[in-house]
Amino acid sequence: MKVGPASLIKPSLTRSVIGYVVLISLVPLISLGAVSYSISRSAVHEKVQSYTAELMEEKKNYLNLLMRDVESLMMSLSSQEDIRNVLKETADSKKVGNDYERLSTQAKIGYILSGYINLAGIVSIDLISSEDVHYHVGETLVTGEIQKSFKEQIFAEATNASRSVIWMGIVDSIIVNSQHPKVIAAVKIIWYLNAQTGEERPTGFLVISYDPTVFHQSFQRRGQIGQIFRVIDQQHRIISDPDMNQIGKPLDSSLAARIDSQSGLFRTRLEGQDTLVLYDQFEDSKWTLLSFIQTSQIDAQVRGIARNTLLTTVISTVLAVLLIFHFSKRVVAPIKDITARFKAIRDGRPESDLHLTTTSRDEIGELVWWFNTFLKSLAEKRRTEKELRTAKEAAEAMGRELTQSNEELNQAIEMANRMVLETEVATAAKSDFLANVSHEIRTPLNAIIGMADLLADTELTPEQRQYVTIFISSGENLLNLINDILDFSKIDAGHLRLENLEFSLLELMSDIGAILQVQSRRKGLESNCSIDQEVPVQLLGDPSRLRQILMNLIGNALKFTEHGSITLSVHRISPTEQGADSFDAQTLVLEFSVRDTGVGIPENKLLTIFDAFTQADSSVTRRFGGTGLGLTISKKLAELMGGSFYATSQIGLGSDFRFTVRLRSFSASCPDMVSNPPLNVLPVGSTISNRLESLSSDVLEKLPTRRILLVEDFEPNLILLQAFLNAACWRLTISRNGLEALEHLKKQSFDLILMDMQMPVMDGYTATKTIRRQEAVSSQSRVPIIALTAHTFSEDVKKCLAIGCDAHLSKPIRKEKLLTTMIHILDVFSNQQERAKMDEGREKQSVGATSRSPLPLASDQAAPPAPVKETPLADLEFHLLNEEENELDDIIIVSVDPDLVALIPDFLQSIRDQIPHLSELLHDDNYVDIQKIGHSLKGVGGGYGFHRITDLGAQIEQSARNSQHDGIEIGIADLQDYLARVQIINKN
Amino acid sequence: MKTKCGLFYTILACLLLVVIIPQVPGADSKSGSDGDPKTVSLIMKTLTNPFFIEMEKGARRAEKELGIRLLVKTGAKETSIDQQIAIVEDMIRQRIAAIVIAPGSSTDLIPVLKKAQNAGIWIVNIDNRLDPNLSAKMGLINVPFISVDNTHGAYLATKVIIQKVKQPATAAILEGIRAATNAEHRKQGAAKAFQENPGIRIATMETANWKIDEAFTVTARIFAEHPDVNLLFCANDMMALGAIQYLQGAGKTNVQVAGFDALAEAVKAIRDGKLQVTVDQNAGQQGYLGVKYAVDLIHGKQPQLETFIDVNIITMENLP
Repeated sequence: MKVGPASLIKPSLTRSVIGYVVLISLVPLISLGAVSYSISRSAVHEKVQSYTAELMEEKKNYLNLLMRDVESLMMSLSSQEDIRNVLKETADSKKVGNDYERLSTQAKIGYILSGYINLAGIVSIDLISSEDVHYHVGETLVTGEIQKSFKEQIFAEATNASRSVIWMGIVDSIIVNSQHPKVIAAVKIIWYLNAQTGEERPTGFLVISYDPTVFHQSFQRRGQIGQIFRVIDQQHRIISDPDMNQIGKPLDSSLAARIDSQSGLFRTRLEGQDTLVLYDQFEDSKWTLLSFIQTSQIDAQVRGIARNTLLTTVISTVLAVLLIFHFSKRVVAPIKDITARFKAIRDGRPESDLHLTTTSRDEIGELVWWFNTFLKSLAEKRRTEKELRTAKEAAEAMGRELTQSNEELNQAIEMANRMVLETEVATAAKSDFLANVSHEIRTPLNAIIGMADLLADTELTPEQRQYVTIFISSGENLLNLINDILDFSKIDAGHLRLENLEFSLLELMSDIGAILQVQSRRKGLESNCSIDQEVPVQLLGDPSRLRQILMNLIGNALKFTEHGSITLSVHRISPTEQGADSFDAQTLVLEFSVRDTGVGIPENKLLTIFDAFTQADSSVTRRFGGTGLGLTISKKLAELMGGSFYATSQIGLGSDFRFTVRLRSFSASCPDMVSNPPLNVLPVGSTISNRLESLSSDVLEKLPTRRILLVEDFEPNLILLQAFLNAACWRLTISRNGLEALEHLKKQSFDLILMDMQMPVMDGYTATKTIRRQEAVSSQSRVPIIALTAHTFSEDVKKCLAIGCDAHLSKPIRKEKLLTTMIHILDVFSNQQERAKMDEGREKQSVGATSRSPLPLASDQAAPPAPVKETPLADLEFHLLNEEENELDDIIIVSVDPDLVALIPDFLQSIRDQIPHLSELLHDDNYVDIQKIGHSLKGVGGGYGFHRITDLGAQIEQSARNSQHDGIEIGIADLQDYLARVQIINKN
Repeated sequence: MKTKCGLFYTILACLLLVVIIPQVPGADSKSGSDGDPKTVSLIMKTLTNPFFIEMEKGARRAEKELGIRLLVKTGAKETSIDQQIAIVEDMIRQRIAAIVIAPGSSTDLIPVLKKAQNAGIWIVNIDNRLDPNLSAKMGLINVPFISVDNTHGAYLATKVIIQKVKQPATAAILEGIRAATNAEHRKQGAAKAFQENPGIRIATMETANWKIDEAFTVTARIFAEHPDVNLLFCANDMMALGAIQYLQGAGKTNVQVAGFDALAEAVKAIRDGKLQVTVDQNAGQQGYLGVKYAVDLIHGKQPQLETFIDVNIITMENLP
């Protein structure tokens, strides 16, 4: 795999180093070499030219000197009197003298001439008279014939020439068969002036033949830089040339053509070489000195520089290469090695193969050392990893086993869960079944018992009355039994939930104490009921379940006691007794005790009596009946309430059943209740029946006539309820469903509505909500509604209260409960209305404040519409009950300017008047006007000190601005609710 | 690693050294030539005596035959000894292979010739013999000599003229250069012939230095002093021609004259009856042999050290 940019040119250190080396050494070196070469080349060229010119000048001078020598020699010869005379005589006499004369003349001239012959290079000196007498000194004594053409040519040239000495250039030797076929000839005509006639005529001429070889030897010394010198005569014949074979030959015509001035230079190509030609002409002889320099030879001088530069460059390159090689070996190679090894490590090769060796101790050595160290640690790590892996594999193997086990376990759990689920489903189904069945049973049973009650009110014979009484008690037993079964199943299924309500223990105890008293008196027993002084009477808890336990125990005690007494008592277990538990101050533990003087329970049975469906003795069951569930349920209930259940018993002496419950004291808000005097309660001695009778006879007759709307679809229940409410004070109107009820409500108003919740066409919930809405819209006074349901669960009760019911009665309906609840509710509402009327009547002093608890004792589950607490307030303060907070004690106190107090009722009324208007606007989706009203509410509320109104006005305004229909609706409802609950309470 | 490093640095140092050492241009100086192995110089006494023309002709013949190069050098006059010495020195400078010399003086040229011999130039002596004693003394040895028997030639020629006169007669001798051996030999030969006849008196022996014009002058003087001289031996033809010129001019037709060298002019004078006898000493042959011997020496052949060429006596009777 390629790492990094796998381009054509991979960046590398070596390459970089080469680059640097080339940059810092080779490039400057080569540039320097090139520059110095070119500079020195041109310098050398110049130098060579000037040097050559100098050399040429020297040569020229030398040649001139030579020529002057020859010329002066000729002058001195020609001025010799003997020679002039001999020539004159031969010219005059035109005859040859005798041998003696000839020989002696010859000898005479010979002596003269031979004095000059030894001048180096002179081949011969010839003196030729116009009569062809020839005297010769030189290379030979054998003169022979002279060249006719030569003589004539000389005469022609010499006579015309201005100069006395004529340089003929290179010519054929004057002597035929001469050793020197080509000679350099200088000629001087010797003139004779006739003194008498004044006539001047040539008498002969002197010829000096110069040896071109000697000339060559002395002249042709090559220039130091290979210059070639060549001399040509006026005929462009070569006089002197390094190649002696060239002597006498004509100069190349192309070259000759370029010699066009006295002196100069030109470049040409000769023998394939670039040649620089310098030339200079002799003024006298018209000869030309030429110098040939081959450019390459000049360059050869410079080539040294080039060669040296090249050599240096090569050596530098070699050095650079060596250095780079060295660097590469020393630095790059280890790095590459390490890189390769890192790759190898990645490819998973064992580290032991990858160790690098180095002896260097520089940075690279350090790198290598650390690499090796890294390898070691890597190996260590690998080993550790391997061990870890092995361990991990082992662990994994174990894990697999575990997983398998887990799976098995999971399967088992799943199976168990499934089974549990099945069981739960089954249990739920059972519970549902039981609930349904109990409901189904209770409804007809309700009718039976109700009918029996009615029957008991009719005229009966004592016998019939006895039957009816049995009829009623059996029905009640059956009902209890069913309730027990239902409770047990609920508890068993964990569906039972305890209430957490405020209740008065005093009331509870007096209630049960009354029952105990009645029942025990019936059996001729004594009964006692006591509440310990320390027990707070106002508590939070589930009073109905507490009652259930106590009723069960009392029932048992009554059942199993034939003589003696039954004592019901309650006391508080002090925190110290409880141990140092983290109870807060409000939590307390009460111990209830029901003691009898009955048959007692054998000790061995004490442990089993709390088991379901168990009684101490089967015979007892036969004697006393019962399901045997009572104690079980009681125990469980006690435990649910955070307590325990225990019993002590002695056969024949009686039993003591005790249980503890954990409750919360409500004493903080009613401190004066704490110090209740101990009760020896209920002096009233009456049966249930008696109490019923008293209600019907005493109370009802005094009551004013009330319009009651009864909404019920189930005919038996309807008849039952009609029967219960047959007293004169109740004016009943019947509706079969919610819709009918609404129809009736449109036609007339009612003082109270009894609303069954489960009905066809329109159920009670919908109807109640509609009623409340209509009331709100029409600003009608609130009509109390009591919900009637067959459900006993607290959720149902809450739901009913939440939608606007004022109380809840659980079916089956007992006449006593029904009437008590109705009277209580009516009482509360009538008081409110009276107050409202008084408010409307602007009476400054409010009335109707009652010190009595508004909660009806007999009410099964009564939700107080407005639990009012009287709190001493300053004269000009108002109590505002804020139910929205769902906290009874959450009181908002509004300070109002004393000057404004008189205006408050009108103000509140004006706000109330806005509500229907707002609802109408909302119905029309007229958000603009709603926003305006909201805005004015916001503005006015705080002004009177009602900040809540301001808040709600702002809420409405905001919602209207955002066109939030629901938000407005809620705001209106809240406002309405708030206004409905504003109470003006005076201290008095 | 350590040794590798060392090697590396050594190479580095060497390379640096190579760079530093300057370029030394190769000194390829070519040693000069060992002279001209085929050049032979013929050095003669004078260009004024036709005898030497003949000698040159013979030498040229040898030049052509043997394929060598012949440089012919002469002094201006027979007496130009210094000139001859200068020529020899020039030849030494020219590093020619051999010198064939007819020395003007038998002694004065020995040192310069020795110098030439030391310079590796072969020496051949013709015509006038170098003094053997002085030569030996100077170390100039092994020089072949070619000439004629001058004494004998002179004797024979003198005999011819003696027969032509009645005795008693008066004789005179014109000598050559007295330092020259051949001049001495010829005088002796002539004197011997004269002395064999008691009726002949040698009036005078004077030198005209081989020269024609000097001979004219010297003859005039002799006849002025000794008007009775009727026998005249001239050591060469040039002097004889000068003497004849005087005698013809002075009208002394009874004087018998002998010459030497057999110049063309002398032979003509014999035909004209002005000269009685001359000696042909074969100058061309001498020239020829001289060159030949020189070439022999160059080629490592040792020619005989003395070679005498026969002379011919030329008279009216045996004119060529």
